[in-house]
Amino acid sequence: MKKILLVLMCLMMCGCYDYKELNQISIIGGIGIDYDNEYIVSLEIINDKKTSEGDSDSVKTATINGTGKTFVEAFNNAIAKVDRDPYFYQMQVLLISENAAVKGLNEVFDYLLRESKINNSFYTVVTKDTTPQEVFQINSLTEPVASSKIVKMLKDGSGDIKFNKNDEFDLLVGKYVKQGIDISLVALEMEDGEIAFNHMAIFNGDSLITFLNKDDSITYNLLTNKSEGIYLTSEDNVVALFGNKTKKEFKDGKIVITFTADATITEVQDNIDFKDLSVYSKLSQEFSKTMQENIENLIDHSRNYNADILGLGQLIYADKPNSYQKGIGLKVLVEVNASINVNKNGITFEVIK
Amino acid sequence: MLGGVCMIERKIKEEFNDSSDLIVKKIKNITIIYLESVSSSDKVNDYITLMTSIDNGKIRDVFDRMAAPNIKEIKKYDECEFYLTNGFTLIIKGRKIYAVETRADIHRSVNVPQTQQSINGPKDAFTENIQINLGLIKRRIKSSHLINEDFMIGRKTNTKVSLLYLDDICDEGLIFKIKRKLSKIDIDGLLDSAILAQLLTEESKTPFPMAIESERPDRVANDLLEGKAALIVDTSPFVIVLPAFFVDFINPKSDDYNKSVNINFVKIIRSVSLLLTLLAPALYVALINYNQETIPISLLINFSQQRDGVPFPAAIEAFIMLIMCEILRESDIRFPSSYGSSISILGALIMGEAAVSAGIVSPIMIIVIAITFITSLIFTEMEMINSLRVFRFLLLIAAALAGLFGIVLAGFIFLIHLCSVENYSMPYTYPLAPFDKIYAKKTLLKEQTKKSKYRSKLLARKNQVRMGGEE
Amino acid sequence: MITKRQYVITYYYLVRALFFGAATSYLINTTGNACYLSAIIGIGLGLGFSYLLYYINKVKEEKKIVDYVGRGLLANGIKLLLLLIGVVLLNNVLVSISTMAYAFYLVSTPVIFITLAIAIVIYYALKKGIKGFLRAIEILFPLSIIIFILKFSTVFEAMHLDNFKPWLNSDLKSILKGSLVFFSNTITPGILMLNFQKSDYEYKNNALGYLLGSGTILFVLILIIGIFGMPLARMLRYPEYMILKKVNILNFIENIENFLTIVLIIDNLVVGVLATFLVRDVVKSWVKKEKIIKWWDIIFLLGMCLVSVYLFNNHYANILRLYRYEYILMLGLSLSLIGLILWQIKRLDQ
Repeated sequence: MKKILLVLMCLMMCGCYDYKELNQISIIGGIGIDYDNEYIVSLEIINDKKTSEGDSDSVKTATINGTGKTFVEAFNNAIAKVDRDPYFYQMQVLLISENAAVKGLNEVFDYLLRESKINNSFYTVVTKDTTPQEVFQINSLTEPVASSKIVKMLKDGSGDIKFNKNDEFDLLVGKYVKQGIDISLVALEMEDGEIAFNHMAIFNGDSLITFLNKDDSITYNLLTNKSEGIYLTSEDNVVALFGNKTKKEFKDGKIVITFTADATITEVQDNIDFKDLSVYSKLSQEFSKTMQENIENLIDHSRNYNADILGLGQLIYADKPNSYQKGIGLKVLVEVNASINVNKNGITFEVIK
Repeated sequence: MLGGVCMIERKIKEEFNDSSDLIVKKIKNITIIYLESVSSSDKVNDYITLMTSIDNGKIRDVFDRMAAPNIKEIKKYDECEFYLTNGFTLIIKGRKIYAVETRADIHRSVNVPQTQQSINGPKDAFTENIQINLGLIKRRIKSSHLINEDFMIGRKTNTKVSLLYLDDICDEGLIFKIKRKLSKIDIDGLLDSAILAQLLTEESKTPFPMAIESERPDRVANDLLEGKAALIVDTSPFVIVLPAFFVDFINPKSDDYNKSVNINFVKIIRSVSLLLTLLAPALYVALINYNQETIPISLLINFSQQRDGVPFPAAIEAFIMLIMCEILRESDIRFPSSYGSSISILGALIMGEAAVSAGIVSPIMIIVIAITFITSLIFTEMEMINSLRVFRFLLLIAAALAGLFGIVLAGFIFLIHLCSVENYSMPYTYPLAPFDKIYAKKTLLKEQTKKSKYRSKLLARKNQVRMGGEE
Repeated sequence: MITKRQYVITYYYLVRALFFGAATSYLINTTGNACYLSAIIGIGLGLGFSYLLYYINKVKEEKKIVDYVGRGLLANGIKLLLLLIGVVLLNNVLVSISTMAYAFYLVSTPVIFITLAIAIVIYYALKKGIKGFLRAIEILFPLSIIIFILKFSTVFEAMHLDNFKPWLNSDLKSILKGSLVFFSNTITPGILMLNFQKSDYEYKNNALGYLLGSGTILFVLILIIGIFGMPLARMLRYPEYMILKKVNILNFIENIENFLTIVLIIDNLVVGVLATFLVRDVVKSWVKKEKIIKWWDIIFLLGMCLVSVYLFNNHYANILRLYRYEYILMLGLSLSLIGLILWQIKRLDQ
């Protein structure tokens, strides 16, 4: 009996240091970083007390801001203003504004990777022409939490620009610290109060350089195998691409990029007759040429800004480390072979004239 | 020598304090003594009329002429008390005492089992008479290798205990140990087989039951064929089977009467519900309070809205609800059903809507406690359900103090405790821990009847093949 | 008495145990991309060492190693080395479980309480005897295998072959050093296998247990490099915990890394309990006073808790020193122990 009491006393000493009731924590959905001569960090709180009262139609989330000279100082300032204990393990998105991205990402990534109370599976988005505070404060009817809305649109939506598993935070940092590759993030902008994703933000090292235009962004997404069902236009014909594969090789001192995809016809001109078998090969050639031009445009545009977003330098380092030097990815010769095979045309035989 | 008739008669009357049911009759030159409460007067009358009709009233040699099934001669005076109380009639002629069996049948008739029911299979159950119980088993095992040995236990009750085993299958060391323990018992009264089970096994070391108590003869016969030993106690409708393992309590033996493919699913569900009944409240407390990241975000927001108005912390709430449910179950067993069913309605009302609407408990806690109790009722043995309760509370305390880490450590302690119990030097977790495929296939999962050809290695070392023939 | 199945399972747990926390991250830090090569060389060395263990076990038959060596100066030297190995292993176990609990599960509890809770479990296992403990870990073995298969199959799709390139990026010296790290971390707990009483030994039991244990470690190393790639894998402190965060079943069950690290705690607990048994046997053979033997377990466990918390766990620099130099210490102790035992066997045979 005495032994049981002793054991129980030892167990009781463990105390309840980590015991957190659900009413004592504030679940934080997203962090936003802005820079305006000093860092401004915003936190979006999901289970505010206001959400539990009233009917579920009028659910709102709350936003807390904190300022400071460095990022860590602003972050701690924001945490101090949260009325309950902040809980970061369900965090879904990190929003970085343009100014903060220009200033530099090293400090932000380093702190968020090392801190043990933050999980590593959130997504990173750059905001263009707005601040993260405004983004967190939009309140749509279907999804009141802005962080969930952003992540859902990018993961499950049917837009042209998407995320996949390689964009989670720790794998993004893995790409960031490798040599020979520069990261690129999705850029968010507000159109008439709604969120739209039209551009990609490219970086050089740790600071933002520029935003790519829409065609280049879509091509970039196609090359990194992220999306399916993207439309490609060539002389009034439109196809949707599925099953796209990219292969990059380094041989004989130049890089060969091979892009293959299957295509489904969505919109055609009036004078196409589907029963003619040579139509498909003609369309295939047409679209292959268009795709090749698009990829070459992407590489030229990104090289103008000294950003190696396709990871060509990393490819050279992986295959032949001896011939790698810094910046070789921007100078090496690239040969692009794109082949698009138009082999499906929906469920009708003829075009409505 | 015994002394004269009058002296014996006086001694018996003195010993029984002239109790009102001691009947002494004198017929010609013989004296008949019997206890009316345990003897059947019809049988006594039959024998008396039979005796008086021999030799026209002159009785010379009673012993050779008596056509009674069970007649013994008493040589020592001390045995008189034993025979009288067991329903025998003493016939004293001259200096010889004879005892004739005229026992009354004061027991129930063979009925359906009350606590261990099954859908298919035989439906007779043991009663309180040892001869009927023995008969029910011997009807199923008609072999000359079935040995039964009798012991008398209890100074004042002199209860007859019968040890049964099949001597060409069972291990001799086991029988030797059981007999040695039986001979060491010195108790004043043995009223039920459960007390005998507690005396024969080590009660203080573990809350788990160490002996199987069964009401069905087909289960006892099955266990005897496996190589275990059975103990039948007079005036008790439960028969003890030794030695017992942990897996014997999870699945009932009446599963053997179904097809193996169908019944394996149910057996797996029983094993899963064993885990659920131990872990459900502890896991809930650990997930809500320490490791909230495992719960998806929408469910988490829902939980936090539900727990808003509740005054207690989750651990205290779980504790209170578990104790309330134990009180409810205990009162449900004891309360006579003829008083009406309003008590159970009251209990359900307390647990259900009223507590939630009054804001004392949260709805999710009711669901967790309901899962715990429903999965615990799937076991057939009451002792096992009660013993799991101790570990359920231990795991709940460990979860409340240290979260998931505490559950791991407390689960480890539970497992070490379970594995270090030994029953007649056979490990308690027998088919799982020193892994034996054959016995595991009899208890944990069922294999097809044509393929189960062998007995287990530990219990039946002598005779392992039980079925021959083609595949 | 230990059965054949329990022997293989115990060896499997012992070989894997020290790789949580210390050895994996140190191995990746020294060898980089080619850590699986060091692992393969280490496995080869370890199989040879397992043969030596099998030979010693066969010679000593049913006695424990502490009873077999007898008396004398050489025997006392062997017992002292056994004591040191037991102390080092127990310290390592306490430090690694409590730092894991401190980093991920219970973030603001003082470390001494976590260590005391682990010591309570070890003491309970000691009190109940070794037979019950061996049965308990035999029951837990399928759980470990199932979790490994689950881990491997769900995370496999996140691997990229590009992360392994450039092949053979490190020089030969660091690969050999990595193989020594792997070797010493697997075979030092293997010395605890000498303390069992078993009647017939076969080499294939040893080899099977060793291959199972180190094979799982090799797969985990391949997974870590394949998912994270080189500079990131060097930066993370507990990479085998981080890859569990990627487990995603049916898009619905996520974030279950806290459940999956249970098996890593079990490995370390096995080493802790067996090391404490070994130390108790050594002390029992030296000290004859009844009172000290009765209270030895509690005093020893409490002392080790205090040492591990206040000497190692309170400052990160001490833990770094532990990681960096511990493999040299363990390698020296175990090799010299085997050498001395072989010398003693030769002397006793004469």
